[in-house]
Amino acid sequence: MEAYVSGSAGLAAIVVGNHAKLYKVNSTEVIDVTINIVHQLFSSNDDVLVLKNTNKSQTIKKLYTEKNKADCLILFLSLLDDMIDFESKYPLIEHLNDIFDKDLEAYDYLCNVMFTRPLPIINIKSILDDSLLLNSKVQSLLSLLFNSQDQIKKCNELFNSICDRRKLSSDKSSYVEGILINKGFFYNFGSKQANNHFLQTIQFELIEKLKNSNIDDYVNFSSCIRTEFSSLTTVGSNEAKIHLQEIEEEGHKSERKKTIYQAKAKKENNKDAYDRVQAQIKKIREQLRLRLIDPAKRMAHELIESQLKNGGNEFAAQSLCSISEYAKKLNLFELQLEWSLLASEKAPNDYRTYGHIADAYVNLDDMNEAKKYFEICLKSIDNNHQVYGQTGLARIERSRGNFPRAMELIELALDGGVDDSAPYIFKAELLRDQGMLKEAFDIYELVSRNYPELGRAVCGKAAVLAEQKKFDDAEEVYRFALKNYRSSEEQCFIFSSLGFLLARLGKFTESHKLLDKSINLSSFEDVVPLLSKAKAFQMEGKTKEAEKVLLKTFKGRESFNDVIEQLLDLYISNGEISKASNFYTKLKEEMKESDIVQIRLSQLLKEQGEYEDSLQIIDKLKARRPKYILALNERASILKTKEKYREALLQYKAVLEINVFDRVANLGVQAMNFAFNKRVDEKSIILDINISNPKSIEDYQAIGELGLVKLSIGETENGKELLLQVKNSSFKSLHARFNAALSLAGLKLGQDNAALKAVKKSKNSVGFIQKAVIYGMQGKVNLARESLKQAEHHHPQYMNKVIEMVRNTYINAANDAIYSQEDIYHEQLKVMLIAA
Amino acid sequence: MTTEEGLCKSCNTPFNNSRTLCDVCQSDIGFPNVRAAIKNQKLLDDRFKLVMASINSRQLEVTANNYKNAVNDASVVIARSMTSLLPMIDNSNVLLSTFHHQVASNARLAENNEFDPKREAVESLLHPFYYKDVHYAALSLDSVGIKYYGDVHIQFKDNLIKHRTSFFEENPFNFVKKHKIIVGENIPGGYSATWEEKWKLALCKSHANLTSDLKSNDDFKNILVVECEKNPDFIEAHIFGTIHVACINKVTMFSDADKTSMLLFNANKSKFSTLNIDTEVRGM
Repeated sequence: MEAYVSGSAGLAAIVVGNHAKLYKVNSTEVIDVTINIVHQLFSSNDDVLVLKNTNKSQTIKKLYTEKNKADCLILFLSLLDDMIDFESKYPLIEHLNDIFDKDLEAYDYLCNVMFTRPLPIINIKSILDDSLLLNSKVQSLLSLLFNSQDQIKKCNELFNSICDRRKLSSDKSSYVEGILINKGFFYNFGSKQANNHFLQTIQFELIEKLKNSNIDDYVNFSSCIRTEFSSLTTVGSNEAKIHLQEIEEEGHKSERKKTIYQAKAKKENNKDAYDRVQAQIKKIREQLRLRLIDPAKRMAHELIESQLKNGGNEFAAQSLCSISEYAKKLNLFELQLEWSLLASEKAPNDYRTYGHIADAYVNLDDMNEAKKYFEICLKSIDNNHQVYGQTGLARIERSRGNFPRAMELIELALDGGVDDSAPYIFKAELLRDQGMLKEAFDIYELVSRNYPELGRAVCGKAAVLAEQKKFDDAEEVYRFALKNYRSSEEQCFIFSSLGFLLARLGKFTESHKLLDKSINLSSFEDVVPLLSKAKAFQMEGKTKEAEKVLLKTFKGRESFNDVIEQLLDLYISNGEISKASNFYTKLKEEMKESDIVQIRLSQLLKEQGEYEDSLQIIDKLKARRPKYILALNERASILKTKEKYREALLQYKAVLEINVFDRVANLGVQAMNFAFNKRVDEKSIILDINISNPKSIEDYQAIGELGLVKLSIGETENGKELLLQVKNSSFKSLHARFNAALSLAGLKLGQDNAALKAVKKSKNSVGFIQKAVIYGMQGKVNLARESLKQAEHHHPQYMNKVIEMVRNTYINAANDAIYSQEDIYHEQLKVMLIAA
Repeated sequence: MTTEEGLCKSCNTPFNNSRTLCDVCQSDIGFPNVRAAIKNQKLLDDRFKLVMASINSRQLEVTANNYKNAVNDASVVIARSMTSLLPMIDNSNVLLSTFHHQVASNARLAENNEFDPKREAVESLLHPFYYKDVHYAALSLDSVGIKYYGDVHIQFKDNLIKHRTSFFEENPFNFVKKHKIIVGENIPGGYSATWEEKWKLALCKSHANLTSDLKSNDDFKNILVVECEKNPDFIEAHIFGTIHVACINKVTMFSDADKTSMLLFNANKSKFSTLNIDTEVRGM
């Protein structure tokens, strides 16, 4: 893609074929024009640059850079214009200082240009004497220029003399001068800052640049520049010190000395002020970590007040954004919102503040407000803010489960190319949400090519490979990342990701080692390594250790949803209902309101047999977030527990419409089919699992589920083989889930002892029922009664029938049994499938 | 001057069409763009006759006459950004010419990415060999040029440009496209005019849009210049030769111009005044 940029016209055009999109500085409008119009518009400006192989983001960025450069030069030259009166120059100085503050490149450009040729001293002197200039960058530059004119003249004469002696045409001299200007050559020599190393670099760069020019003997010419200019290198030498003394001794010296010292003092003051602000921000963060919210707020107020007095609104807004971002990391979203709103109040023209507000609203789940603020970001003239806004809108749609709409919006953000990796990463995540793993991988690949410094993109690739079950490749990519991305933050992330991957593969020893390393590198607010560690323990079947890690993590992080959710999940999946209930009761009220905690509460109520309350919670959630897959699957689960199989089936199918690859919904549909006495579709359970070579916990889980299906269709031998595979895996967390089914298979095959052994230690309802059946068949009525009693304790509604069948057949010992053994097996399998 | 046969009146020898002086005797032979417009005058007159017939049949003679008077009072205006305007108008400023024209352009030149406008093909059809000496502006009734080109509008003093200005029906790119003219073909006659005949060109172009209710300059300004973002339509003024600051009559800005432009405009006000240039800031 080719683009034209003119700083003086404030225009950029991105050319596509015979048409172009025209962008004007400080305007969000984009106008479609023909190429002829573009040529006509740009040909009246003499500063048009042509950008090859560019994109929208780079073009817009260049437009603003060139605009600032053009503005700076004309503003500065206007300062030296003796036809403009002093009064009229003040606003120009202010504006120039503003530009310099925001755009150092423009300042450097101006220095490079203004040090190239000598200036009439009288023009500088007249403006320099004015006291209003004090302590400004403009003043420093003018002062430096004033004092460097002799040196500038020397450099200019030497350069011209070399070109003359080398018989360079004026075109060629101009070209070389242009190269040297861009390298800061004249500025460095003019201001006596050039040393031999700089000169050597210049020589090599000149050779490189002139290689393709038609300057004969460019190597000798470059060498000549180096040799002759070496006499003017001064930095660090006595000459430099003398130069400084000269400045001090010259006319107007007392005034100038004052301004130099003031400038120096200002620089030092600025640094001090910056350090002070950083120290205060650090203290505020500490207070937040300790949950001392009011003191943190007080300190923030003091900081902002002092910044408003000394540094201005912009700096205050920056600090507010910084602490608001930290509040977000601590899940203190109300505070994040409060501070980001204040930031936008202080600096309404700073569009970043609106991004922070929108983000806070997303975290507070107020998507309508979030949308409003993301849309404000779209109005910014800065392309980065626009892209952030657009990505934010896509984020909202993603959170609502509207993946196609989210995709449309992110494509819009990426339209014309952007210079930011974040929207690409977002797109990759969105594709992963929809199971489009290859496409997601390609995006990560693209990002890691374009942003090789970005470890996150490489880890994204590894994560997709793991999702694709290419575990070896994933591990290799993580190990590559470990070698190449060395910052502690990146190392922490990679150790944690690799550690978790190894846990999924059952390699628990190495997994824990890596996770421990990650924990050592992690910050207070980064709980992912700790949660991964707990999860690894859970997979390993070490629930006590998992609980210990989670409780330790929870301490001091009472507002971290992820920790709360994982702890509740651990308790519920482990059948520790009263613990879960107690833990939930003690949570802060605001924490109970989060969506994920509400889902866990619903599960808890379901386990307690409070189906209506459980369903009510999920229905409320569903009304607000109709495509929240986790909630929808949970809803289906409650419905099936209530034996409302048709409704449950519809709910699972609705989930599959959002994500056709969703494993829970796929299995749910098959379980419902079985409940309706329909043949179960094995393929929808296997999906992408390699049955012959299982590796991960997900593989074994699918094998267990497939084993159940095999039993249900009468392939008992096959089913047993599969269930044995699970039993022999290192994932003890899965054993409890499938032991009852394994036992059932053994029983069907006449292997009574093995059947009993498989469920002897079972502590879940299906296990107790299975034990009751075995004891019943053996005529051990008391033991059977005892087991059934255990099963009746907190059993879900859908187990009522099988409990009744077992009681009727083995406990009450009716002479003419109503149910055959096959009937009981069938009902047991139905229950097991539903429970799975 | 020149004869109808294309000879220099002083030495009676053929002259180079792109020159202003005869190569042989150095006598003044006028400006090439104006000579070309004079050459086209008959074709413009032929076109004008047909237009007048239409105007008469619609009984719009009075409106046409009003429009003629308005166009005769119209001025030539060029729109630029202030940042590009100052170096253009301030030819005598040594600092501008050194640092803005030379040093800054050398820096750009070294980047090897200078713009090479593809205007020649179309513009050389109109002004062969001398298109680079022509400045392009708009004929305007309200001292405002085409906003598309910049937020500073420079109105020229008639007496310093009228002898070297010709007018063309519209933007040559649009014209070439509309008339399906390909490179190598001539531009059809009747679409250009001298200063004195510009009203005929304007009437030929816009007569279809005239209605009896149009009376004042305000009524006519949107007929003479149709501001449309994608493709503004206006009568293009072609000014031969350099534009000296003394040629500028007035500089107009709109209050929504960017900050740098507005600051430079305000800072240069006294300078404009010294140079006898009127200034005006208009609200949106």
